[in-house]
Amino acid sequence: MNKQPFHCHPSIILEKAGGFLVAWLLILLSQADEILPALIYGTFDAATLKTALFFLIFMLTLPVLIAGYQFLVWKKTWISLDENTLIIERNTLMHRKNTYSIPHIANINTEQNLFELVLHTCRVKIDLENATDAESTDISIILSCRKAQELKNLILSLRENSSCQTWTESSSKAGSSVPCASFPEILRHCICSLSGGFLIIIIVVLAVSIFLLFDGDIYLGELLWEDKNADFSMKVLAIGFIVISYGWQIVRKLLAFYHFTVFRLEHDLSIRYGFFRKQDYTIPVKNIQAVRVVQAPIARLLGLYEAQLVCIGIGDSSEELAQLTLCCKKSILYQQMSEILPEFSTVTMEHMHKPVRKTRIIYCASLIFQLICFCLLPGCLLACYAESIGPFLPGIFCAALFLILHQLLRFHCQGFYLGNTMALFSNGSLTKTIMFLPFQNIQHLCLKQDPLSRLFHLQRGSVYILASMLSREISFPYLEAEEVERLKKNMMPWKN
Amino acid sequence: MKFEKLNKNALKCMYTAAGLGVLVSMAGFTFIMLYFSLFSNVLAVGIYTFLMILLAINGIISPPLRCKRYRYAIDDECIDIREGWLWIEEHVVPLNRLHQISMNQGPIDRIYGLTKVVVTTAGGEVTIRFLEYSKAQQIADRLKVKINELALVTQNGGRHE
Repeated sequence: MNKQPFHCHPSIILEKAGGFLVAWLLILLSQADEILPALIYGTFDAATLKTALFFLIFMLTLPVLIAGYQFLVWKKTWISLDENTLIIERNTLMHRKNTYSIPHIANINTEQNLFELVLHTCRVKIDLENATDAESTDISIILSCRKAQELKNLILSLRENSSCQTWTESSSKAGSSVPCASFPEILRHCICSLSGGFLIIIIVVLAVSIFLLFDGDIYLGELLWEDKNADFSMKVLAIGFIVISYGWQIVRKLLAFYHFTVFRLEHDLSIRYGFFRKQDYTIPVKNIQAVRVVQAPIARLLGLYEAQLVCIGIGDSSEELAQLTLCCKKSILYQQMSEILPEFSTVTMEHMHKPVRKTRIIYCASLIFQLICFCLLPGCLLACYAESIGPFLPGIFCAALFLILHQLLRFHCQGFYLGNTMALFSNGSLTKTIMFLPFQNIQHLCLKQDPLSRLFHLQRGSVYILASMLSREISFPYLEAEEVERLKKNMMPWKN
Repeated sequence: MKFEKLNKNALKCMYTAAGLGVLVSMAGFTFIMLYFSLFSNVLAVGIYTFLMILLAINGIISPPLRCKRYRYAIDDECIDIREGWLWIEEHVVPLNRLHQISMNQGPIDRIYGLTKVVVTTAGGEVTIRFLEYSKAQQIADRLKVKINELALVTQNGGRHE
């Protein structure tokens, strides 16, 4: 690819005007049954005919105007590469010239939706290394597949020449890869990675549905399902609909992770997956801030782990995850990580240890406080003011059970390890998350101490990294004073 | 690391801010009590009185304790801020992570001639509060020089280690 200015692929006009055109067509079709007979049988008076004609002309010219405007934008937008910068210039009414520094490009990803698949085009998404726009893609260009690949390669080579890599000690072999995931592996991942909240909703909805279906005459059934004469088949249909909608979530994930492949280029990681929407991420290893190892509830029961990358500029939607490995056994996870990302494989989860024993007292005190606030006090108030506390007892009991279980699971998930270059922090309750975090990526640190932890000289808190809003803060459990000092020292190794 | 404490104006500023907060909360609770006609209910009045006393005590006790506890230190390597009275927070920001420095002044700060210095890293913001304007200016200038020095080190291809 030469460095001459070029346009996006003309299909961008259709993509940009597409949403409007569909909406316009729907409005027109919805009005067709009223307008057509009137036009055919001539049931208009002169004034109405004038208005109708005016409306019709307006409706017909509007899409032409929109498409024309998009054509103008396409025609007057130029993309060019100049030394180490990418320039996008738009000479429409609002003249705009954006210059992006290539060395500060974090990721170049390509993706294809169904429309682009048919036209043999793809969307090149470029993200820059800045925190302010970490939630959204900075540059999005539609090009033909060949041109997109050429642009990607050119930018990658320019970036490679102009930047110095942080991970100079990398021992990975360029070309190392995780074999393309098979269908059973993807299916296992989709089922095992269902989140705790999602599982609770499924279980509660199914339990209530079955309860209502087979025991519809008792009090709760009457309360929630007032129409006792409702058709049995309608109830079955409702349950079926719920089951299908949750099943669809799994199928959607299955299609999203179709053909999942990760391989290591020299200083970059390449991740590819997707069926209807093909995604191809190229992530420089130096931009990976942390690795998140996740164990969703089913995966925890089966002893499976999945790994995700924490870095900026991985798409805009929740489906666009920088997945490093699918759900797999711990040994396979270590093997795959050491092959494709050895920089984060210097420590293992076995290095982690639990917080000190004193922490238990703090967790117990916190549990007692929660039980008083959410169970005992409401219980006392109901006992004083309600006619009978009986109907509320199961609810209070369930709330207490939930609080105890939640606190137990939270305590059980806590863990940490402070190595020389890498820290491991484990958190969670139903879903367990273990963060592999190099000290050099910590931006700043916040330590917290409540009155009880002050008594035991313990501190918990968070470290902050360069990542999207949801992943920016990483919490760590209660640490003793010496461990806190170690954390500070490792964060600033140059400080005496 | 030498920690610096706040001056007397900071305590006045804290008292004013806390007083306003308490007044707004009290007005809010009173409005709820009046709107739902809860002043005839003994339990509601009990809770209301308890909350009012709690708010008043907080308004009187918390400013001097917060002021006494608040301290900050800036050396050649990092910024360290400690604040809070019941729940204590400590923020540690390495200077080589700084991206941006800004000075903010709210209406209450302006009355007492105080300013906030907000330091931004790639991970978020940390604020040094209740500083005299001249002191804040001094800190901002010092940090600006440090950022420029570090930028030069990075441009020359070295890491600050």
